[in-house]
Amino acid sequence: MHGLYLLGLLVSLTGMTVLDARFRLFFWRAPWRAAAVMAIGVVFFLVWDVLGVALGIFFIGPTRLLTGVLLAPDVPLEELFFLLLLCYTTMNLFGAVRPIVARAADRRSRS
Amino acid sequence: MNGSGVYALLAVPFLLVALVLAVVAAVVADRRARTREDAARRRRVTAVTGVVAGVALLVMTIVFNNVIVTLRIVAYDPARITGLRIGAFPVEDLAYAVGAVLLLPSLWVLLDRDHRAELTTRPRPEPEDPR
Repeated sequence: MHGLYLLGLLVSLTGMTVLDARFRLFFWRAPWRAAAVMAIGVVFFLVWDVLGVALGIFFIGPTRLLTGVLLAPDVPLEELFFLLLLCYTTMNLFGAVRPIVARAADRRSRS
Repeated sequence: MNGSGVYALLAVPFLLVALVLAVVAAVVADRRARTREDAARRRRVTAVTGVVAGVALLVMTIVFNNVIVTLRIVAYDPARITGLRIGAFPVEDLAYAVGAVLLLPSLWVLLDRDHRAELTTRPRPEPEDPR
């Protein structure tokens, strides 16, 4: 049971990577730029998390699905992977949706 | 600090930063466009993309957060949230998804050092070199 959440996050991140590689959405379009976006995004949300914990808003629940490794008080290792997944999913979505919207806009302007 | 609005208030500075970056990215993208029409078209495409991707991300967040809150991976102090919930999780959690949609694509635009107008599917002539 321990580590199940981390496993789920890693499976999801693998899925995002496969989609990215197959459709050239994010890292497969501009790897260094993608890495910079991910790094800044993760730091941005980690600061948000740490402040949320410091203000006593949220904390680790009584679960047995976590590895128990902590990055900071009440910030589990898993949170880093969750934030990576959040950022990767967002950018893959944009990479996938934008060309579809652009094509639709082109079709409309030509017709 | 206490009160049921704390979690909602915490989101404000982060969403403001993300919003400012989105506005800056929009201005930068406009300047990179070759023509007025091109700029207007890109702006429309970006706005529609933001809404579509944003809704998709919110739906995914609603599913995901219900799972992790139900599994009690994360818990909240009831005194510091408004109490408005979507299923199991506090509505304030959605601010993360909103922040992601505003912040990350803006960074992607701002960190584009080639200054190439990107990702259009319309075949078009080679851009003229302004130098």
